[in-house]
Amino acid sequence: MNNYLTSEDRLLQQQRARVLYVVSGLLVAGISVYLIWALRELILPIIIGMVMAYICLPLIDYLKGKRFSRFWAIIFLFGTFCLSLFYIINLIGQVVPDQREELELKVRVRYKIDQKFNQIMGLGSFAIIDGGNFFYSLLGKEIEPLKDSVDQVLRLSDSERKMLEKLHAASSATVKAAGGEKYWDYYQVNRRRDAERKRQQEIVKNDLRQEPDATPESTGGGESLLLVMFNAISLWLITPLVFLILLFDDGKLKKGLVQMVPNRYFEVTLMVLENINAALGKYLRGTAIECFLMATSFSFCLFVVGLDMRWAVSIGIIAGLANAIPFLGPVIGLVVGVLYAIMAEEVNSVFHFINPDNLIFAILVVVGVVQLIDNAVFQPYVLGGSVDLHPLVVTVGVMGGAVIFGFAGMLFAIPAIVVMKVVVFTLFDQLRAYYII
Amino acid sequence: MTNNIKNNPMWAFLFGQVRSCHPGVPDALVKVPLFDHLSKRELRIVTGIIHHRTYQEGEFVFQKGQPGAAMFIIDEGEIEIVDPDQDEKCNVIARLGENTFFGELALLDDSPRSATAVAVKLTRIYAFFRADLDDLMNSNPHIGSHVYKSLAMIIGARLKATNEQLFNK
Repeated sequence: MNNYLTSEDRLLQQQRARVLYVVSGLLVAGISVYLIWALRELILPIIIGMVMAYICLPLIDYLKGKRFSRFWAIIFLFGTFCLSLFYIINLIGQVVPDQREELELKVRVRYKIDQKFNQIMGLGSFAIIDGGNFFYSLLGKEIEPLKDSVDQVLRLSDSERKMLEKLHAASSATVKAAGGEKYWDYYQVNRRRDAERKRQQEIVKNDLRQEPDATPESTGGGESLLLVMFNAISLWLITPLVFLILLFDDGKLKKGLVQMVPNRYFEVTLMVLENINAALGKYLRGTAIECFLMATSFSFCLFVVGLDMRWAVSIGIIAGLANAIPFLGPVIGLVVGVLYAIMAEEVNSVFHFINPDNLIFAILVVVGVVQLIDNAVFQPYVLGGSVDLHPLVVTVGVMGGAVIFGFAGMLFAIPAIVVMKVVVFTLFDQLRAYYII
Repeated sequence: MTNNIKNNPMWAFLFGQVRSCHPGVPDALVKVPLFDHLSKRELRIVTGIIHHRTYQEGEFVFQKGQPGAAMFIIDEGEIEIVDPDQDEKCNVIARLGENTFFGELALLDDSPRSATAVAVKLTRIYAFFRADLDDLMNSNPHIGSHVYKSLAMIIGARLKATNEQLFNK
């Protein structure tokens, strides 16, 4: 039918097509931007589900190669994943204290942080404004707001305070005599510090907004926390769904997207997608294996140093997962380990010279040794040269990701840069090879 | 007689001789020697990874010198394989119809295409991508090895024919 069209008609037809493409393109772009903005809370759970599915695809292929059907391979993998998750949650659940332990922990951590802070900064027991050593004059003003916010989290609410007092009253005299209620002394010190701090703040910042009351949590605090937890859990329910859908999809999504590509760019698109797949797959799978090895090494070393098994494994998992973030990951591991060292009151190490007072140094040594193993063994053998990025690019990328998207930005900055690098490096080569440019 | 039986849909259905009636498997795929010896289930797996493309009259499928990434199977229409180096008019090397395939060497490596393929009329094609064949080797080694074996046999047969032509000259 097109044979009957004049050249003028063809020109008009092309113009109409162009207008249609531009308008529909703008419309789709607008709707996409709106949807991304409106559903931004879902982006992270979806991305994590996608990444997990992507990491697991070779496992599915491997199981299929072992004569599993795709369905059973996915079920097997998902079952293993759920069991592992259940085990980890259970393990962390053992570390998570009950109501009494939680109160004691809050009191103890607050006391210890205050004590160590004052010790390092050269402050007296209750000094807030005056005094302080060189470190305090250098960093005190920067760190203090951070410490105050930690204080806010750890401060007991009115109801918690009442409960603690009730528990203390109910404790037997023998426990008290044996010094089994050390937390009560800490609690008294914390209260005195609070009173002193409040007094000093009132003097200095009389005209400023008063610090929130020591009982910021209303009686409905518990309910709102539950609501927040419920919302977070319901939000994250999408992760396993995305994970399963993508595994069952079996490449249909990719096929559908490639279908929309014009013939001229068909082979180029497939080649570029393949290159991205190879580079990203190598990086993500390498990083996943590296994180696992790091978590195992951390857990083992912390256990040897004298941490309780539950804590060693929990801190090891956190440090291992955090290792996915270049530069900042080891710092997160270090901070968590040091925080534990600050609040630890007993250590059961195979090395008898390690005690609660020098545990912090032992943790520093552990972090250093594990990082050394990572740099010398894990990274060269597991990651290889999969991320051949300049350290400056990595640093700026991670920081930029953090500024724009927060924690998720830090986590996914490097994979995003890897994709961009591959696209930039291969796209132009391929476009030239296929005579497109 | 054997042909009659093979072409009879009922017998074909019962004995699986003519696989064009497989649900979800394109005819072209069944008739291509590359996928010979594959079962219905295996053919369905291959169908799941191939890409369906439509080319207008005069549209290039690929051009000489471009890196090869996929093999193509003609479902409907016609393709001309031409050598643009000969002269400006292009020398037609072959004209391929339905259920034939071309560009199969791209399944082995990305060496440049030795000729240009252009659609003579509106043509529907199935593209089988090299990376998908590589993945198939991991997920379904049985299918992957069959395809590679068939590919080796086809290339061997062509080499044999070329040698015979050379000796006969």
